[in-house]
Amino acid sequence: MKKNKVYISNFSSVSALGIHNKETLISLNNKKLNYTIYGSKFPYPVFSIDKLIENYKFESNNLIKNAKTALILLKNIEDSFINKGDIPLFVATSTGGIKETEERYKDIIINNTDYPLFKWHFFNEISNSIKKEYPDIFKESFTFSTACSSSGHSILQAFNLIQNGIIDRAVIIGVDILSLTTMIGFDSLKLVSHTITKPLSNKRDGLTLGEGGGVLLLESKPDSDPIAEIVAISSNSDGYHISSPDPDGIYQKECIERTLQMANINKEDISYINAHGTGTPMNDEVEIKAIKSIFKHKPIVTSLKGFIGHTLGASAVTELSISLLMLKEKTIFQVPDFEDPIDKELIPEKSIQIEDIKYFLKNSFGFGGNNVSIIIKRLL
Amino acid sequence: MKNACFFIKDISIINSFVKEREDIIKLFNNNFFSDPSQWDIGLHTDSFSFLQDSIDSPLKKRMSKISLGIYNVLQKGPGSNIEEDDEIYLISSFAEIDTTDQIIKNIIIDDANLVSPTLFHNSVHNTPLSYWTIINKRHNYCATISDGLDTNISFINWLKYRAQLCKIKKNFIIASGEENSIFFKLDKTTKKNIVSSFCAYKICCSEKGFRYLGEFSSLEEILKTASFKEAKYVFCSINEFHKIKDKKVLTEYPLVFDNPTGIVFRLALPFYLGINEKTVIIESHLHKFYMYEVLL
Amino acid sequence: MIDKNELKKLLIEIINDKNIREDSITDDTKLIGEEGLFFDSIDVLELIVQLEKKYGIKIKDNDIIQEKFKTFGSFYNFVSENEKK
Repeated sequence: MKKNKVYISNFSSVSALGIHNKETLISLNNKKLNYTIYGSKFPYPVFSIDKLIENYKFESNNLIKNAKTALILLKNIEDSFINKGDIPLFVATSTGGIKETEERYKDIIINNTDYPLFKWHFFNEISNSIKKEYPDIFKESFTFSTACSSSGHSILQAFNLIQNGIIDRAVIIGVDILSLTTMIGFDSLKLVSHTITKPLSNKRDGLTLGEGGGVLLLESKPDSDPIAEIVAISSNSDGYHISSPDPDGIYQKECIERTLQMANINKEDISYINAHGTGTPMNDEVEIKAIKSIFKHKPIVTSLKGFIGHTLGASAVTELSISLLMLKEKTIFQVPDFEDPIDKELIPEKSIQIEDIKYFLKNSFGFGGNNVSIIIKRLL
Repeated sequence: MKNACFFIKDISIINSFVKEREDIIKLFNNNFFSDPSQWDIGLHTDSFSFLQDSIDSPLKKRMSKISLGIYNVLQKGPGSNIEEDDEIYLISSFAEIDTTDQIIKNIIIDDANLVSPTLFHNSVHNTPLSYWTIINKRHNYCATISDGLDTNISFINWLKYRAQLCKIKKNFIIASGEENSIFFKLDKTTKKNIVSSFCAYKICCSEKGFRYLGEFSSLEEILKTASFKEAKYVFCSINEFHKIKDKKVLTEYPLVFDNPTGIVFRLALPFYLGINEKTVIIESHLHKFYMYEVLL
Repeated sequence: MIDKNELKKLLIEIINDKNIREDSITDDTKLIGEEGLFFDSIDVLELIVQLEKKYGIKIKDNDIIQEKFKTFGSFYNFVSENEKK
């Protein structure tokens, strides 16, 4: 059966780097990282988007932060999808309305206040807010949630349906926000850096949480020349440990290799790898090990989490979006003052100009050993 | 184009009063699924030590109710028939909600700045499937769909699409369930009886089984269809149960009460019960209706 | 001085094994490693969180764990010496 190509017609991101592509690019060129210390309950750095989104207003009152972020993302690419009829919506998140629940929890318990938790806490509040804003476009939706690889799954599910002609297009949207549960939770697992995250550096000592999201419009028959094509995507499970990767990286390796096989390209065709690169001692070690065992030709490897933090379920789509931006600019950005890379040949110490990069790989490895790898071909 | 047909097999349904297929058949023979006088929420207790007993791994001490429940139904149902290439999906409206509630309570009410690491890594939505892959050392594709009170419609729409991949991607595994939690009582605006109940099964592309007939704008429209007229049995949600006459009308409601994922259980029941006569399955969401026909 | 039984109770809660009770633990009982009572790194993390919450002891270094948590005896001494409440 004939397979359709799956094109990325448009993309956008919201992160500590900025809202949408132009602002993000400007920040990438800055020598300063946009993190702040959260507060007394969690006195460590985070990459927040509060200041960036505070002036955005939508018709809906009382949007949860994740929904607001999602609507901003959609607004950024609205022209691309507004006149195309119904579009299935693939959402990803690991936080939903949890921040808002935390803020009201004491009041609910002590004062018995009425707060519709069934409506506001769970993930569907994001898609429902989107459907309210765009009632003629988004009617069918599904929210995937598999920890840090969540948006990887949203992309994968949509990809399979488009490739096999079951749907013509899809909007993928991944969002996650900072919450006390995730901040304190990760810190209790001793995975958080108390200084700042240094992904892919030997000096790394943990992750720094971030928030934000990414959006993609995927189509098999785009109107105009698409920016990129998703060539292949696959996923598997480590089956090893609930919060650490298998130290030998066997299944991460297998995930990447299967994706390469599906893409039907040579390993050497991958010139850039946007790593999951959380900055934890274990994740980065295992990921680089897996990469080195497969790619002998020294592709460039960086992580965006040094710029935007770990945006959890939103990370795959957010970082894929920013990677597309970087490659369009022919620049792979590295964080300022980057030192002591795990591998000097793979990981650049400074931002570098590059020739046209045709294929790149995006990894997304979630808790419980849930792995997703995506290969993208740049067209424009 | 006629929608694809698919079969459900290797089924397991487990809660505090149902463990084996015989339990379900006994209930069916006693009109449990059609006699509201038997629908007693008191049947759903919170005793789940039996779920731990069947797990041969020290990790079980850490598993939440939903992780234990999902693990058990996966093992008992599709378990030994899960192949390397089978995708496994968890369909759960609220997933690890009790764990999340405990964490929030710790942080907000007890003012803790650190929480149990076990609780936190358990709060991830995909955890039940992760535990299954870790204990069984399996590497299958795993993903979770979770949409609160709308999970039924997310499931129906996703299934409609995923089933069309049957010819290419063959079989897939569905696990579904919810765990009871005091969190639900905190919402004074909405009363829902959420109970701990779990199911799992394998869906295969087939010549017979069930077929999705689409979305309808009213129940009346469904009642006028040939499929409905020819059906002997009707499985529906509690919302339609009292509205349909002149058929053998059943509902999985007493097994799952207000769990939004009742539809996942309902789909499997005709197969589990081995009903050979024509059956239709109906679900409603907001003001729309959805129908499947089943022929075994 | 910290009550030994109080500390044993804490360990029992974390280990969560029906076969291990307070009287199973002596000063020589191994905690970490292959013959240790702790199942894996998560058990150790749970203990670290409890030590901080109950006794105000913050542990940042993994080396401390390897050294001081070897036996119940060494663990008890460590906690007694470092208690901040």
